[in-house]
Amino acid sequence: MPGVAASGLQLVHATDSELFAGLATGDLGPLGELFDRHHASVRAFAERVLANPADADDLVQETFLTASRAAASFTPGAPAKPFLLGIAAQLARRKRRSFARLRELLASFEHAPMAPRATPEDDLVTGQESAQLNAALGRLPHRHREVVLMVDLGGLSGVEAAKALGIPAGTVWRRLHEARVQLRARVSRRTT
Amino acid sequence: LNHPLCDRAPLVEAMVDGRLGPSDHASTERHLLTCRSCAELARELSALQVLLRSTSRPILPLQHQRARLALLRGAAGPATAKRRPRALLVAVLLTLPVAAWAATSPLSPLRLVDKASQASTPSAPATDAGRRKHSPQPPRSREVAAPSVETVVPETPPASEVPSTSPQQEPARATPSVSSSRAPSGTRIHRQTPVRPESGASAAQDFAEAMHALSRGDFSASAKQFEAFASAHAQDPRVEEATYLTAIALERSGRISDAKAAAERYLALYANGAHRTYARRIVTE
Repeated sequence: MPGVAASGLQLVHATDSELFAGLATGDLGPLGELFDRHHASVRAFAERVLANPADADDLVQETFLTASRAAASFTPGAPAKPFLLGIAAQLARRKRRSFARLRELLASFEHAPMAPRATPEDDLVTGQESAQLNAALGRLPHRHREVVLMVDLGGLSGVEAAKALGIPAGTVWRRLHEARVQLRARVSRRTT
Repeated sequence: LNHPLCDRAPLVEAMVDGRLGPSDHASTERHLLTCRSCAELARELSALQVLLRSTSRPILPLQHQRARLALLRGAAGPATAKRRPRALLVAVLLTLPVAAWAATSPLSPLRLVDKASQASTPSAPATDAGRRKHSPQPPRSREVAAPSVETVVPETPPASEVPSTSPQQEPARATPSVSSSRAPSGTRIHRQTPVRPESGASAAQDFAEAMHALSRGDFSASAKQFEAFASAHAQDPRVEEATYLTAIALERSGRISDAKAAAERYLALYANGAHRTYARRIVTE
């Protein structure tokens, strides 16, 4: 029956915790429902946290696959988004290291039409200011970018972001402040 | 940022982040009514959040469904993905007895090489032991299913590998060709890469030309060049990229069925490759 997991869980009405609990038992049914609920947030994060947004598809998929394998470590009752963004951030860090050579190799390719963003049409749709913001985000150090994306884009609290990234909350606030200073400076300087 | 910062600016940011207690929150809110720079800062911080969230690109339903399908396939599919390396391992293990036979049997032509080498130079056994490992099995190095590579062309070993002092070097020189062409008889078609001193520079140039063709939009030529690169430089670390980019170039040149075949070839060779997601998308589109 559609919408019902092998464990008998009513997917649409289940809480995130119940979905993760179902996943932890080896039932893959809840994975699609979790994807439907949270893929937009994970994707928005993935597109901006990676130097090459073309890798976002891979990162989103890997995030949910990893989440399904790590479902047993999900704290019952906790919100799913920090858990998923935390996984995405860790994978993005690893990807940055392992794909450094690949990115170099495909540097010219990134400017070919395959790159999914930064086309003139996109700029028209999303607006000049948004394009500037994306460019400014791209210039931030990675550790600043992931924090500002988690909090200001993903809506996580500083404490949730700290837990997801495995760093002290004070470090999150400091990086967040520095990232915002740079973003505001770059966006407002270019618009004035 | 054009306004002078007030001493209470950090409190404004803390308020926006929900870090203040009720009384500090209330007093900071009152402060905003009178301080122009702090009010401006609060507006900018909120605007930044709004702007960040508004720039998220909408995901088309079809795109969502494809990604969802790919995810569920990926979650259910590790068994099939793992089976390939296992199959490769089985194939390797099956070829080992043949290699062992070729190395030890008195009937093996390779045996003659050993005897000839041992008789000629004292340092030869080490060299031959190395060759014994590699000669019957060069096929395992890289499988290429490209239509252009359908025959096995045994390479004559470089002169440096053959002891030049041996009086029996003529028959010995011929035997590696025999053994290497015999080994793949029970396995898939493989290719050997000629050892060329200039292959590194040549590979880099070939790859760069193919990339250049791709970036200038000459997809047809680029596909051919990437395919040729994968055939000519099978040992090059960029072969995975070349195999994947062949599919991309074919897709862009409008040869969809060829692109799908190329993407399938990529997935067959690199089940866990970096571009598996996009390659799968090409196959399923």
